[in-house]
Amino acid sequence: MKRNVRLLFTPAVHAAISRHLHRGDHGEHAGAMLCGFSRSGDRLDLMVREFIPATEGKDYVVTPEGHGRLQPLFIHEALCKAVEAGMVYVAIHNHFSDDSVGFSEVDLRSHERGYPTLLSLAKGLPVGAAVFGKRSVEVDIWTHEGVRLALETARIVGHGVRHVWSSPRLAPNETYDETFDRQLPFLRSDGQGILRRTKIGIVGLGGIGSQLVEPLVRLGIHNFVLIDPDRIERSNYSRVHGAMPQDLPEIGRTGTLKVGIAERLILSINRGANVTAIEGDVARGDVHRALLDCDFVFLAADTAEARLVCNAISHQFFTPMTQVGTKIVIAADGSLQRIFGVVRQIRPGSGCLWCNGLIDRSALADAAKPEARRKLEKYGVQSPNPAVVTFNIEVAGRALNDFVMGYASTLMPLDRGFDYSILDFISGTREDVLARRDKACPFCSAAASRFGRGLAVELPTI
Amino acid sequence: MIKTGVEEVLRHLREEFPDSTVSFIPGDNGGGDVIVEDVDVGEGCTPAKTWIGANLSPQLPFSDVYPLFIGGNVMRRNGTPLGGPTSACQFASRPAIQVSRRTNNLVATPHAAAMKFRKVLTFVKELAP
Repeated sequence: MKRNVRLLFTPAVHAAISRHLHRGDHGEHAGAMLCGFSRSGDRLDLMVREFIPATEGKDYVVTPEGHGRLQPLFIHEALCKAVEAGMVYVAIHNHFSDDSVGFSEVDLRSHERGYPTLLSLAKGLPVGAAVFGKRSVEVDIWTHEGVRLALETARIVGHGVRHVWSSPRLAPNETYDETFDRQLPFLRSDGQGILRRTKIGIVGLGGIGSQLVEPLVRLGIHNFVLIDPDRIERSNYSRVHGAMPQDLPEIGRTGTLKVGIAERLILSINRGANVTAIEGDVARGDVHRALLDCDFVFLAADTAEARLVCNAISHQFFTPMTQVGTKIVIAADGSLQRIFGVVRQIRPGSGCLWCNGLIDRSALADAAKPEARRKLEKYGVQSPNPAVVTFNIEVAGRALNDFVMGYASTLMPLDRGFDYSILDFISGTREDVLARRDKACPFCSAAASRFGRGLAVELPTI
Repeated sequence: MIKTGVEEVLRHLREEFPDSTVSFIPGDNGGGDVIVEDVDVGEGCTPAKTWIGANLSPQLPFSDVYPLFIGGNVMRRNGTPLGGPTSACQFASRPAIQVSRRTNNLVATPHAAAMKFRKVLTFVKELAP
């Protein structure tokens, strides 16, 4: 059995499951999860979109031998609902364990009796089961390829991200490495181990994105996906971290790709790092696919189309994401109006860029047109925004601190009460904002057709 | 291949303008240019009937439909240009007038995108009462 299922929860759904299963009555309880899914190689991600509790005595009956069983009608209705929506049916129940849990022999025998039939009814979708301890979970997922899959990791994706395994011995604890000697007292071996295994996506390797790279490598991140279509130019040399004079364009030679500069920087610090450097626009074609197996994404590209696609990925695939940007506002008379930076946490169901009017719909209309046509329609006449490296560094630092505290430690709560931080560089103040949540949002609302649906819904790419 | 969102907008346009020919010239990215023939721009304009067109982005229904274009020969009945946020140009190899009306709300449905054509026609009528 391969251990390569990632089970992803929103805090709300995970809390509902916990309340139902671990209600303090020393009883075994059950239900079903309906999950969107995403496959990358032989790994399966399950996004838990909906929990259906089983009613004791009706949907879930305990036999005289003391074994609980979900009733056929409950299974049938939940399976039909899942299949109709292109989702994966996962039956769940609890054991009384704490940080380590597994299926009993009775559980496994019942899977072997029942799941071949369920699989035949699931129209090509996987089916399976999950068993929950208080702080642990295990899965047994059956696929049409005849492969059974176990849990690699479960995550509760709130502002802070909680990592859950079937057993502490399967947690990615890092053996002592002197390189990280001074940060280990803070991160501990489990936090360092999480970083070691994490794959980070960075979309946009310009002024802010390039500032994220070196601290992430030095933290201990080994796996990177870098996406940017652009090459370095003289006008951005002052802000692209890692750029060298030989990268600049000369007569007869284009500048080095920004992803190439970042890749070189990563490998200069850690020769063993895995880097996928993609010269491309995340909003176009299949470029976004490289992000689908990332554990965390930094969005540092400032186009409306990149925001649209990445926002959709975060809510569809439950990918935690941080969007970063800076802005220097100068009035027509040349006077400085404002300098500010933003660090926006996007999580499944919260911090949505669409709900908050942060995706310019007219710019989207523009994005797919050829440049010549945009100019003909008098687009593209805006002068470039002012930008200064020092402001970019502060925004990048804030985003990285949030990442370390939220992803690799438990310092950040699942709900910290705000989604966005706005840094005012002139006053030196920070405003924390709870982002708007539109109940009818096509991306982040629990009822949205895209929410947690993974590959079942096409992403809005160009 | 035409993106689903674009197909949906075309379907709504055909419903919204049942007496007009709705033609679509696909681009190479799932979107393309649409032209709705024989639409009414009101008695304040000459000619009172023209065409309306726009580029349909592959990111519909999330993208705006912007800008839209009407026949390049449309003017006020007194012979003066329409004025307002309009300018002469070409669209789909036709002489055209560009009508720049942005939509900032977040109602991102194929129906709302199709209704943008109706709203712009109303706006043109208001330019030539």
